[in-house]
Amino acid sequence: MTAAKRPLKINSRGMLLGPVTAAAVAVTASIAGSTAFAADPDNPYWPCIQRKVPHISAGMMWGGPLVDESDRSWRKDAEMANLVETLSSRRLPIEEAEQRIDNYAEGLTEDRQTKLTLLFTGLLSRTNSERSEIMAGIEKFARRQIALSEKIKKAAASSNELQSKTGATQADLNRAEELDQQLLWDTRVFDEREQSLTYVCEVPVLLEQRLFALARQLATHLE
Amino acid sequence: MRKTIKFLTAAAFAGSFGVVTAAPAYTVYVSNEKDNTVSIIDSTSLEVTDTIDVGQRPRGILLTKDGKHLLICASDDDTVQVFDVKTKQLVKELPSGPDPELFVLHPSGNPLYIANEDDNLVTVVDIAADKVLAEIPVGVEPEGMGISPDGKVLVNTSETTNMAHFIDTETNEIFDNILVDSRPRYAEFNDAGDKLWVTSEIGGTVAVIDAKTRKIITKISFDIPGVQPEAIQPVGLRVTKDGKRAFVALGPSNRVAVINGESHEVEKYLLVGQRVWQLAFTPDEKLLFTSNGVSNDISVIDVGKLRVVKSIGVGRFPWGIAISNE
Repeated sequence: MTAAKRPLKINSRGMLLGPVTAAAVAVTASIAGSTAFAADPDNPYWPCIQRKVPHISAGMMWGGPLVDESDRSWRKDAEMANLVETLSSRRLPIEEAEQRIDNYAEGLTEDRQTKLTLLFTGLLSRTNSERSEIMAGIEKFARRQIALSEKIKKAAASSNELQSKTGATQADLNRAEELDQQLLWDTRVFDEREQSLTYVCEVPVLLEQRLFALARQLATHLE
Repeated sequence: MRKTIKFLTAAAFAGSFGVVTAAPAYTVYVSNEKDNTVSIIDSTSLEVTDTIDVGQRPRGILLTKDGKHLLICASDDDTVQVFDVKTKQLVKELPSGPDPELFVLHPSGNPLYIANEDDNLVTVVDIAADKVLAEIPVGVEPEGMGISPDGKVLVNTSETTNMAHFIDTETNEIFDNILVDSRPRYAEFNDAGDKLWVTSEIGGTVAVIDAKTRKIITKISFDIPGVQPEAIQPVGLRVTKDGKRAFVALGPSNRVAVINGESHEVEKYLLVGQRVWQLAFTPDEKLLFTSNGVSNDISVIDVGKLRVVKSIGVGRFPWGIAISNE
């Protein structure tokens, strides 16, 4: 599209706007409302509405015997280590996972309390480790969004400048056109990432839900 | 045959958890914030018997004094919906002001006092005439609502201002403010009317206030082994009629604290569901129901034994609970 064909809009101050400027206004509004910008000053790169809870502690999930979270001995018991992996996998429906816990608990002939507590310790450790990786990924994602938003704002400012320049040359308008296209692409990428963020932010909560359900099932075999 | 088995199972269940089979069957209503529904539970079988569609983002929920109507804060619809409990149909909508979250009825049954979080107002609504009687400006982000048993004093807590505002219900004007800990969420008077309990979510405390002098008697804090302090966030609270015990929902710590109503000491922590939010007793106070927003269930506590006896799956993000009188 040449500069002459561009549709013009008029803003609230009565200024003429080309599509570049209009896009810039829309982009700025979109970024301002973005979830990439954290509300919690203690966690500036945490973009989720859900409060950042870096670590799930045993007491939040477990009413049974005291748990030593640093105890890694569950890894030395091959059956238990396998069970921790299986139960932690979200591919396994929770009903099946609960059934596997029942089978395991019913097969225990001695040290039931100790073994079930150790199994919980393994599940807690496994879940915390997976959550940490996911939360680090979410923060990395947020940093990239912030960087992209900076790029968009700079491009919008440049295009604005070119458009409002007195005696703009054809080269200026061509450059503005390029910025316009880049802005549209970057905005689209930004918006799509924002939409996926809603789902990504749910993942730590889903892991907590699963661990809690597993812990609750384990607890039914303690009494 | 099937019915017999079902009955026997229910009887065996009730027996095993010490729930008396002859206990009155109350109806428990739970608002599911994310599903836009209300789950209906039978207090004897402890099963969900029905789920009804309601307005968007239902949170605060209560029954009228005559038990005939269920009132629901449909927060995203900016209205309070009124349902007939027999037909389970929407009867009318009350003017509520924007974003109603929590409300309380005058002990006489009318009017209704609604906290409007977005407008920093408490709206007073005549539920018979369907009209707004007054709008009371309060602190920023009003939330908790408590009313004295004689109906003369309304207390509203404001999340951002960190205050409990004391309002004269005759003049509808604030006559005192008490500073409490960060983000006060819930306020409740005991039945004797001499104490006011206020929970503070971020502060992690419960303030017990002398209702006459309006001075803080004590602040209760919580310490749960194995739980980081920031996860202990007091929200919903209920006091027994005799004032001897208070139960406090501690949010993402997934625990309910049991507090001695006289010494104000914590007696016990009960592990319930995830992000425990609001609480409600059956009228005989034998059972306490808790809404658990993340595990999407209701925990049932045997109040006499101080034990969790059942978890009941409901909709997504269960928020408020109301229980019928009969």
